[in-house]
Amino acid sequence: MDDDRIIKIGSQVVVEANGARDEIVLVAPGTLGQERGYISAATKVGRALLGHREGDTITVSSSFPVVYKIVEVRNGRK
Amino acid sequence: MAENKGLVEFFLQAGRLKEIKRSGWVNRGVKNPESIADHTFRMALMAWVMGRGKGLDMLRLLKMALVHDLCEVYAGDATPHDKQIERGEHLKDETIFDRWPLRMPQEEKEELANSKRSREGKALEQISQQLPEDLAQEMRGLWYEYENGLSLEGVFLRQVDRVENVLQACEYGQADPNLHMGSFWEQIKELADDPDLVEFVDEMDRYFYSKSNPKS
Repeated sequence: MDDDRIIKIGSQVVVEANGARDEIVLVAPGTLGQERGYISAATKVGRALLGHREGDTITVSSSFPVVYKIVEVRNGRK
Repeated sequence: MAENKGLVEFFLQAGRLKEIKRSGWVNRGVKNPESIADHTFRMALMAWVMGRGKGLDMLRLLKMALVHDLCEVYAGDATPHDKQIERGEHLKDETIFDRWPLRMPQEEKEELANSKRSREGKALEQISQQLPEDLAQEMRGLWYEYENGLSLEGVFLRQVDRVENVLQACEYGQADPNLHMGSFWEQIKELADDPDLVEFVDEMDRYFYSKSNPKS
């Protein structure tokens, strides 16, 4: 199993969020900066992404669901 | 007393926030939308109520809430959709407001955020220059702390700010179901990480949109 492709805290992740390509970094709870692309692991999206890998698709459900397709996961790799 | 003249001028400038309508609602075509001061009022109330029991410095939190949008007297109320608005995209497709618009490489996000922060910092300098220096410094410090999430209060308040937006979006969305409010929901799911606020957002979702709820 290639753990390097699994999302964890510190991962840089390229996603398609409801079809729009985006770059985010999963950060520790209490870290601010969603407008800069930092998403806390304790947010709804952060919790949903943790442990998933490239190629997975997750849905963060509510009355306004958002579908995240995980395009690329970087864990300290160049 | 010379100091009072400066205070009169400061309060007059701050009072303009009672007249400035929030851009996010204006852009969406909300009729008679709230002002920036309206938003600040409920945000401060929410900060107090939702912030209990978290070990936060409540006085600091409430002062921070009061100053968090003061800069908008001069900087204006920037929204994440501003680039699209400039290009007139909302005139062709109102559903742009259903999507969080800042989907881009991280470097671009940093640039946008830094540019906004710089503009707002200068505006706060301008509005606070009439104040005694110690007070002006306190306000600038609180704003900086809020903007950068440098304290527990700052981190919490930034989330409350967006939660208040979502509540207002629910109210306007209920009054006019044709309005497009999805971007607020996309953002809040990526931003709120305080467990109580996350639960509160879920409750708003149920309260306004659950089929079994008469409000929906």
